[in-house]
Amino acid sequence: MATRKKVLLKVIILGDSGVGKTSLMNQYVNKKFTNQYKATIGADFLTKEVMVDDRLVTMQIWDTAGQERFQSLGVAFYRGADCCVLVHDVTAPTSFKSLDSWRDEFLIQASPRDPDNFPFVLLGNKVDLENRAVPQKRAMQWAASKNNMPYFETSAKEGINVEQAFQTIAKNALAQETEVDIYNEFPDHITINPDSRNVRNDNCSC
Amino acid sequence: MTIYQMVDFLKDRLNEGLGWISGALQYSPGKMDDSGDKESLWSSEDGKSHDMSLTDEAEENYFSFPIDDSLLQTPDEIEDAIERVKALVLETEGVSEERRKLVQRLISLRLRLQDVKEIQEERGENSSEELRIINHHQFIHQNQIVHRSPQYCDRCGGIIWTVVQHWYRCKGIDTEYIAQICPEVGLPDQNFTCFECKTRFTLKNSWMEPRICNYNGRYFCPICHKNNSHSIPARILHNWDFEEKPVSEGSRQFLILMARKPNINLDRVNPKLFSFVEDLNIVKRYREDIIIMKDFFMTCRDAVAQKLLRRLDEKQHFVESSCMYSLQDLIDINNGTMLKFIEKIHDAFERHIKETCQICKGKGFICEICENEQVIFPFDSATHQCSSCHAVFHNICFAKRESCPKCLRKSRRALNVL
Repeated sequence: MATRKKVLLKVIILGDSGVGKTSLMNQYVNKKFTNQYKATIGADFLTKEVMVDDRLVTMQIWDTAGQERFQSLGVAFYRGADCCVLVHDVTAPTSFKSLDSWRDEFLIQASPRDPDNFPFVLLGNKVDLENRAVPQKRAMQWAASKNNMPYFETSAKEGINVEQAFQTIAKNALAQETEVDIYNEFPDHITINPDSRNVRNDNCSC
Repeated sequence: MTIYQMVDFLKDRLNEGLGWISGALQYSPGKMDDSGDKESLWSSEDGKSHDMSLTDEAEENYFSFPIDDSLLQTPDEIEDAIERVKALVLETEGVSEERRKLVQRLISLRLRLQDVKEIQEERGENSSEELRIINHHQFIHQNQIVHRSPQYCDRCGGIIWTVVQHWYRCKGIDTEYIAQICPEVGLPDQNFTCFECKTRFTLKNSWMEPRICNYNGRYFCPICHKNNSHSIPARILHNWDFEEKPVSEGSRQFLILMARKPNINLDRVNPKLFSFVEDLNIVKRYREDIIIMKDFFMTCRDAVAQKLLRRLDEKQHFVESSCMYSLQDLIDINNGTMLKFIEKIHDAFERHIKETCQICKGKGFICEICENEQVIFPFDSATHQCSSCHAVFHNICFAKRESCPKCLRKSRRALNVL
């Protein structure tokens, strides 16, 4: 299967408010960082073209609002995602604790074909800060328990590990995308049951 | 210092400055120098010395020093002022122009005291709004920043920069229409005089016809009532009757002035109207949809760049709520123009969310119950939105369940955490 057509990889970034989802995306796409906090409202995406294993792919990175009050809108954009990036702030233990619910909610809303093997990547952000509260070991254990998801310690501010993390994200997403392609080559058979039509006719009141 | 504190700080500085300038224009500069000292606001000593020096321009001088009660906002301040005026009255000579003015001043202060006290009682202790009372209007201090079209000051006509300036808006207490159809009380009740100019209706010299105003039910003289006609709000609201009837000139001016103000809450005044007037019902549904769509546009950079919501500029209140109507809205609904207007906008909005905009489409919902891939939206017909978690389901799907699956999941998760 050596198709060389352009692929679009859909990546969703999730995590509590203020962990640095937008900053990570901005650092990766625009190489920019600002210390000013501005809550994301609703959802938005940026695109970036990257080379993965000699293939040019377009990454569509969806940044979401972590705050509950901006979650009144739907998350239909989860559908068709190729990779989900879970972000926590290593200085905020609560943001680490809510990773489970972010992951569960994503799996329910996105309902991927193979939830057990869906590619997630875990990022522990803000490692440049001194008041670290989530030990590396704990985060690695959690990531290992969830089907060995890759774990990166990043700093959007200093640009530490951001490039590497997104490279892995793109790679895993592409692997997922290729699998989807295989599925698409063998669409589900549609079986038309002639009996069902008869039953309906019988029930018709006219 | 956070950015908000900084903005507040700047606001205060700027308003102090502007307050001084507008104050200097409105009152005499001398008064503003010591505005903290209440005495100078009403003391006649100031005025007296000017009266003497500028005898010819005494009347003009009087007007150039208007006494402004609006600076006295609390009952204590007003009571203090009353005491001082009382003392001044006793100091003046028995029958003098000055005493007459002071007594008038005393009366107006007492009326104001009553006014302020009544309003404060009405509002109760717990109200945190900052209020200024001027000529029976209640001006409420506004905290929010207004992003849409500029706000103008109705006094000076200048733009109000809501980001950096303090501003007040009148609560608009008397802006509701008379709800009864022509509440006629009869000529004896108004002492056989014109309700407006108090001219006597008499048979002595010539016959002056008392004309009834179909809006407020009062009688007017032919000068105050020129038999001009206007639609009557109460007739529209109760009977959907738009026939124009003769009204007094005052009422006509009021109705024209108010026509575009969204001051009618149809759900409260006459909700039955929606079932009788089909177009009204359709407009109501469109408006409710638009309020939901607003949430999509507020979080969509394309919609902001295209200024989609600005397409409703001439009906700005449609963006703010779905229940308030202006008299003009009802007239437009009756003549059919409203339906065309709102249908066009509704369709354009829907097209943006469901077809053209990838971000808005992404913010749609997928029914968790039937797992159908088709994206649904809260403004679609045949959908149900959970009031607490905002999840959207097909009506038929939700009917099969007792409660929202997302809410159940959330509460289970909360229990696990505990």
